[in-house]
Amino acid sequence: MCPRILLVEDDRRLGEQVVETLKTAGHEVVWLRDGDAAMRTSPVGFDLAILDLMLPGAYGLDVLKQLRKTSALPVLVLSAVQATPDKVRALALGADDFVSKPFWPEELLARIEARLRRPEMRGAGRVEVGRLVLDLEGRTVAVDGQPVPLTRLEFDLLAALARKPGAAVSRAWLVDHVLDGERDGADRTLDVHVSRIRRKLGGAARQVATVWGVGYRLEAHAVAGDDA
Amino acid sequence: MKLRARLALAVAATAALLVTGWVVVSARQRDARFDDALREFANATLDAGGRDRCEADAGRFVVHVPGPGAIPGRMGRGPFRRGDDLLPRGPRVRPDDDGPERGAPPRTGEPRADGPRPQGPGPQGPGPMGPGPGRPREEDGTWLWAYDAAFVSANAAAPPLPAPLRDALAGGARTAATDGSIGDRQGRQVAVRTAWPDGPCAIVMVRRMRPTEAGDLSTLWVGGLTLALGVLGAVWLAAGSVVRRLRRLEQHVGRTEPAPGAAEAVVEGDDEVTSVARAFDRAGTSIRAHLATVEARERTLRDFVGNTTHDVGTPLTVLQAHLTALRDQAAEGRPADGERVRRALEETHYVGMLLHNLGALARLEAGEVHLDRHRVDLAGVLHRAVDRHAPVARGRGVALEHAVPEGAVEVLGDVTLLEQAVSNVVHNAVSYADANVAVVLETSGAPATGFRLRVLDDGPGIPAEELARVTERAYRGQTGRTRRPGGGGLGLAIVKDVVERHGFTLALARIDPRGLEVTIAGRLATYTPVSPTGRSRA
Repeated sequence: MCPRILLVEDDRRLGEQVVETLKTAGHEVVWLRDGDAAMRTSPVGFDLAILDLMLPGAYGLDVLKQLRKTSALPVLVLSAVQATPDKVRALALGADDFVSKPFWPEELLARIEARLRRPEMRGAGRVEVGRLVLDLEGRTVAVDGQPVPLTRLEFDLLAALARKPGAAVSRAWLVDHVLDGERDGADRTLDVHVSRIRRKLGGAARQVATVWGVGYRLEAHAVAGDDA
Repeated sequence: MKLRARLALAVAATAALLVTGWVVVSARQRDARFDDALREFANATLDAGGRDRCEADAGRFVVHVPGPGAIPGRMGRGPFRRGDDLLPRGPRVRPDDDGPERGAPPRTGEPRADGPRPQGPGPQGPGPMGPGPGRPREEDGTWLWAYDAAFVSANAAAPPLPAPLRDALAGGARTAATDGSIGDRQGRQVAVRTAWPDGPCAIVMVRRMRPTEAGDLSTLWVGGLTLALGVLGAVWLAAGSVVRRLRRLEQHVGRTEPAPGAAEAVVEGDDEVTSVARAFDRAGTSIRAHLATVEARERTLRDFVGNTTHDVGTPLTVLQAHLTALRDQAAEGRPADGERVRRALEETHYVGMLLHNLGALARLEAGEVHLDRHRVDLAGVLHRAVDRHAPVARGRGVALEHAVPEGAVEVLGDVTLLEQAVSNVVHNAVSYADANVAVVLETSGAPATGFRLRVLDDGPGIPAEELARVTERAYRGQTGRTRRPGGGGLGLAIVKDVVERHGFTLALARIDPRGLEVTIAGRLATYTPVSPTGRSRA
C-alpha cells in the first residue's frame, strides 16, 4: 500500500508540481488549498503531512497546532520564510522537519523518505542486508545461508555497519566505538580489519563499500568497482 | 521681536517706572519738608509775639514776609539743611545769617510782631488790610493769617480757610496742609491749631508760593532719563555682542559641513552662548558619527544590491539561453540535450543559493550580534544540506556522501544561519569536486562535548597563499570575475561570519594530493533544564 500524503499548499503551480512529484514517486496525495480546509480535515489515514506556513485562512502554524492536538502524524513544513523564529516555533509545535523554498523535487522526496523510513525498527536481533544475514544477539554472520566465522572485533565492525544499512559510517566513529582503546595506527588497523572481513565474506565482499572521505558502508547490493 | 529690541524695551519700561517713582517720591518729600517749614514758621511767629499782636488787634492781624527767600526761623536747621536747595533763598534772608535756635528773635526780613500792623521789611510793606492794590501781592512771600475756632478770621482781608483744611481740623487734626491757588499760581497752605483755642487766634494759616521747583524737578527728570538712557545704551551694547556671537553661531551651524568643534571657536568667550555652541558641537559630532554609520551601511547595501543584481542577472541569462535552446530542440523534434538540462538546473540551484545567502546576509548585515539561539540538531542540518545539493552532485557525477553519529548532535544556535553556512560549504565542495564530496559529522569526547563537521572534496583545492583570503567577502580567487559558488563570493564569507558568531571555529586545509577540507568545530549544547514555559533557553 502506497503512502498517503496530505499536502496543504495554497500556490496552485507549486501545489501541482509537488503533487506530480509525489505521485510520480508512488505516493497518494490529498491536496488542500487553504488553512481552514486543513483545520477541518482529519489526519486519520495519512502517513505524512506537508504543510506550507504561509496560507490563506488559518496560518500554517495554527493548522499544525490543531493537528498536533489529536495526531502524531509526521509533518514536513514548507517555508519560504528565512526567519529562524518561525522554524523554531514550527519545530516546537511538533513539526518534524522543514524544507525551504526553493527546493528540488528530489530534495523534497528525500526529506519525505527520511520521515517515512523512521518508524521502521531495525536491529531487533536479526539484520538482513542483501546476501548477508547478521544475528546480533547470537553474534553470527551468514552469506547466502552459509555461516562465516568472524573474530569478535570483525563482528562488531560488521554489526556497526549493519545497524545502519545503506548509510555511511565514519572512520572516526568506528575507531572510537569498535577499536576501543586502539588509538595508535587505528586508521590502518581499521582498514586491515575491513580487508579481512571482505575476504571472509567472499561473494558478499562487495557489499562492504569504502566511502571516500567518510569510512565504510554496508550496501544491500554489491558495489561495482570497489576493490575488496 | 528681536532679542535686542526686546531687551531695550524691557529696560526702557523699567527705567520709566523707576524715574517716575523717584520723581513722585521726591515731590512728596519736598512737600513734606515745605509743610514742616511753614508749620515751623507759624510756631516761631506766634512764639515771637505774634500771639499778643493777634489778640490785641485781630481785625488787622496778618504777618507777611516778602520775597522768595527762605522761610524765617526755619532755614539752616540740621535735618532740613537739605531743604536749602529746595527753598530758594531770598536776597535778604540767608540761612547762613540765620540763628539756628528755635524761637530766635526775628531778624531783618522776618515778621515783626511788634505792632498791630503786619509789617515786614519788604520793599512794599503790607497794608493794614493785607494784600491789596498797591500792597504786596498775594503771590509774594509768606503770609500768615489767624482764625478763630469756627474757622473765621477777624481780619476781613484774610482769605477763607480752604475747605480741606477746615475739614481736617474739624476732624481733630492739629495741623493740615493742602495745595491751593494763590492768585494765578500754585501755592501751599498749612493750617496749625495754636495753644489758644478760645481767642481769635485759635488757628493760623500760613500760605506761600511753592518754591520755583520746576527746575529741580526737570533736573530730576533729566537725571533719571539720562541714567535710563545710559543703562539702555549699555544693555544695547552688551546685547549687541551677544547678538553678534549668536549670528556667527547661526551662520556656522547653517554651513553644510561645519568642522568638528568649530562652533565653540566661532563664538569665543566663555558664557552661556559658548555653552550653546559647545552643545551644537557635541550634537554635530554625534550626528556626523551617526550619519557616517548610516552612510557606510547604505554604501554597503548599494554595493550589495549592485553586485546582487549582477549575480542574479548572470545565471538567469544563462538559464534563459539554456531553456531557449531546449525549446528550439523540442520544436525541431530533437531529443533534449541532457547536459544542457543539467546546466540549466544548476543555474536555478545557484539562484536559489544566492537567495538564501541574501537572506542570511541581510540578517548578518543588520548587525544581529546576538543571535536568537535554540537547540539545533546538527545531523538534521547536515541531512538537509546534503539533500539540497544531492541533485546537483548527481548531475555533475559527483558522489556526495555523508555520515552522522548515532544519537542527537545538538548545538545552540540559529538554525537558518547554521544551515546556510553548512549548505554553502557543501555547495562549494560539490561545485569544485572532481568526483567525491564527503560530509562527516563527528563528536569528540566521552561523553561528547564537542562536534566536528568536516566537508571534503577532491577538487583542485585552494593554493596555500589564498587559503586565508577566501573567507573575505566578495573574494573571487585568481579567476577574477568568474563567479564562485554560493553567490558572488559571499558563500565562504557568510560561513565565516556565522561560525564566528556562534563561537565555533572554521578551518580550511588542503588535502594531499588534491582537495580541500573545511572543518567547522565547536561545543555541543549542554543539557539545560526545561523552563516552566516548556522552552529551554541558553
